[in-house]
Amino acid sequence: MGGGIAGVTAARRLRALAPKAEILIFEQEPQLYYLRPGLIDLLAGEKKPAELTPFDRNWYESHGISFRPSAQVVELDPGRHTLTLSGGEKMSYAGLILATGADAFRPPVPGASLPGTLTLRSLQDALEIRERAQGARAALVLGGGWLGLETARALRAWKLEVTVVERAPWLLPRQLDRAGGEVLATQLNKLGIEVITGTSCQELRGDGEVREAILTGGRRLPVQLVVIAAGIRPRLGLARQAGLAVNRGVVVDDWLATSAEGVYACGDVAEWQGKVFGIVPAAREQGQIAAANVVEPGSARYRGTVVKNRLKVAGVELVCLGDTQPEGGPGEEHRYASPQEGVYRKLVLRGGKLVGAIVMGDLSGLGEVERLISAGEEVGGELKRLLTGRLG
Amino acid sequence: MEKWECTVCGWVYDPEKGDPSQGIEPRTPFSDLPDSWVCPECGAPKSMFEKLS
Repeated sequence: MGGGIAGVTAARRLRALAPKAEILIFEQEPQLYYLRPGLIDLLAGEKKPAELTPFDRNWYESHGISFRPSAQVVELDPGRHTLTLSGGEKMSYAGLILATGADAFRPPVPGASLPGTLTLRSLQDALEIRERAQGARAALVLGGGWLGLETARALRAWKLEVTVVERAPWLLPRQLDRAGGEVLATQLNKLGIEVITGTSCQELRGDGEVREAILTGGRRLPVQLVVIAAGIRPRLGLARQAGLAVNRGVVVDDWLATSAEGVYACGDVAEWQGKVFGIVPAAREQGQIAAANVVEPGSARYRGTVVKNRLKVAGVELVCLGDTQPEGGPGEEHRYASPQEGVYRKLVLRGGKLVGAIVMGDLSGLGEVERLISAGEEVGGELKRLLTGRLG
Repeated sequence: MEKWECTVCGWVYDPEKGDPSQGIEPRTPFSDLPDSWVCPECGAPKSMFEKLS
């Protein structure tokens, strides 16, 4: 269930492991599977929907996978191994993978339901924001996380005045530290993006359409478009209805099994060891593992995914890997900074081993940093070179 | 010609189309892509690609 990256990866793995199995994908969106991170390029007018769609109808047919778009599963009965679609159609399954993903979170800001206030999650959302951008002069992006910053860049491509408002004291507060956040804000300013941190939006106003944002502290911004990028919330409706154990996401064990026999979960909807990863590489890994365990229970164990995020903003290079200790922590921190050049690097070590890194402005040596984090080897005398990249 | 998939983000290189964003002409086989070529979607290097079955 779910035709995003987790669901499609799982279906492909199922096909490889169980050549004779009947495989169906139910997707609520009207499109075939597409690369969600590419929506930013679609919004910026740099790509067309077809370029984000790796597999066409023929591909699914030739692989014996039935992809059903616009399909809403309204009831799941794990005891009887049956599910019901919105049209009333009922079917039974041998194994089920929940890969229903997540919705964009809308914080309860007064006025947030005014037309012109949108979130970016689906292909339809991207097209709608792009359409709105054509008639707008100024846009506000609420949220200075990865998606918020990439959205700001995409809107700049349409020559809009763009302001990003982040509630935390600095940008990307879950991965960057304060010093890194400040270097990043300066780089974004150079692209014409205004960054306001430590501030939230109190109210959105307008007569029929959004026209003004009131920020904490009283500043008023005239806007014709607001994009809310305040994170995701796993879609839990069906899991709750089916009586599965849920917390922030659908709770899964190391085999990605939910609390119901024969039901597995992966991707943005799944919570493993208290974590909802919300990133593509985790969705892919989990999709493969869930599929293996549907075919042969207990055959594949999930051990987590090293978090890697790369900012898709032309002109600003930034990668965050593993545990970056944004607000300090038990790991030993080493920094190198050259703010005038937009360069900032932080390495986090524990017991002599590299566990996290922030690499900004100059990505030289990134491959080695990445390899060391995955391999868990001791860093030793390489530290200074890793820290300064080619600049050293 | 064989299609190749980025194991980081799922983008598929289709040699029929090439990759105009990096000056790769249509009908360029994956093996002929330069080592400096990266996934146009996520920036992963060529070594992160797998042949699509």
